[in-house]
Amino acid sequence: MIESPFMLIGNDIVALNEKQNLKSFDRPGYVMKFSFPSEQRRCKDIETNSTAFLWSLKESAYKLMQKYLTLVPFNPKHFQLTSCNQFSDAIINSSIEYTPHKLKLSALTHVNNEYIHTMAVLNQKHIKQVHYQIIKYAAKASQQEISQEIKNALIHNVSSDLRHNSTEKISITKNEQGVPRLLLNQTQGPDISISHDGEFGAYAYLSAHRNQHTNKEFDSFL
Amino acid sequence: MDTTKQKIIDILKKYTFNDEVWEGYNDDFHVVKDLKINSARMVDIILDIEDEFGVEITDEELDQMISVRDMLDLLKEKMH
Repeated sequence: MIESPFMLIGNDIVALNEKQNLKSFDRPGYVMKFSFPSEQRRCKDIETNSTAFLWSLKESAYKLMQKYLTLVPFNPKHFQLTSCNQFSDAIINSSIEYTPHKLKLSALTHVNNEYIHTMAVLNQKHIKQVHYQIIKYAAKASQQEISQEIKNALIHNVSSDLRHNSTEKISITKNEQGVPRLLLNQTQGPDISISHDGEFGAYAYLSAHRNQHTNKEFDSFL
Repeated sequence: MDTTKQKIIDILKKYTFNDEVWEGYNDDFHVVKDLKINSARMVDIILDIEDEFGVEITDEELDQMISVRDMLDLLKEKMH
């Protein structure tokens, strides 16, 4: 199987107590529509909601592949979980295959009682260069407010990580496919991914620098 | 508006966050990108379509469900 050197990342957060998620994940036929029985068996011992876990894996991998191949049809069954290991109560390490191209992806998932957050990369080695933050919002916050606050936090932390002089030179735009990109002085910056669901938002990016904002439990895994 | 299209739009409206996303609507609107529907709801939408129209959307056909027009074309093909 191919392992790519490209430094790309996709992330996805699932709010476990979000009403619509609870309704969907329990819906007859839902899990079978986006996953295979072999995948469900593979993650049966994972100590979290396995449907939400599988979804988060596939969505983060899909977001990554959208950047790698540009026009990737939305088909969660093209992303197959090939292995997963629960490193601790909070961290799960997984491998996923993008079957149309036989491409191997690696993923790290951070779980707790409130959310599942997965970050997928093209090369296992890049896991060490992942930076991320999860933000909890007031229940009343609008989607636009959440989206803006995640972007502000991301810009602030990239700026601090790169010891950038002014945050004004860092901006986030979307490409034609609606995929967010971070620009440093109008040129392509580190690859980023943004996700929000319910009262949670999360961003992740890849950079050669280590970051003080990286979660401590996650850090011990690295 | 024909009944099939109205039914599809009614299904999609269950999963959009606000009415603003429907401004300037045309059938080429992308479900996730333009209507801002959470991608996890795509599975609900497919299950709703299957229930509403009594059809089965296969794994291969998931690839085609990008815009509202794609959904309408696929349904037209399956129901005739």
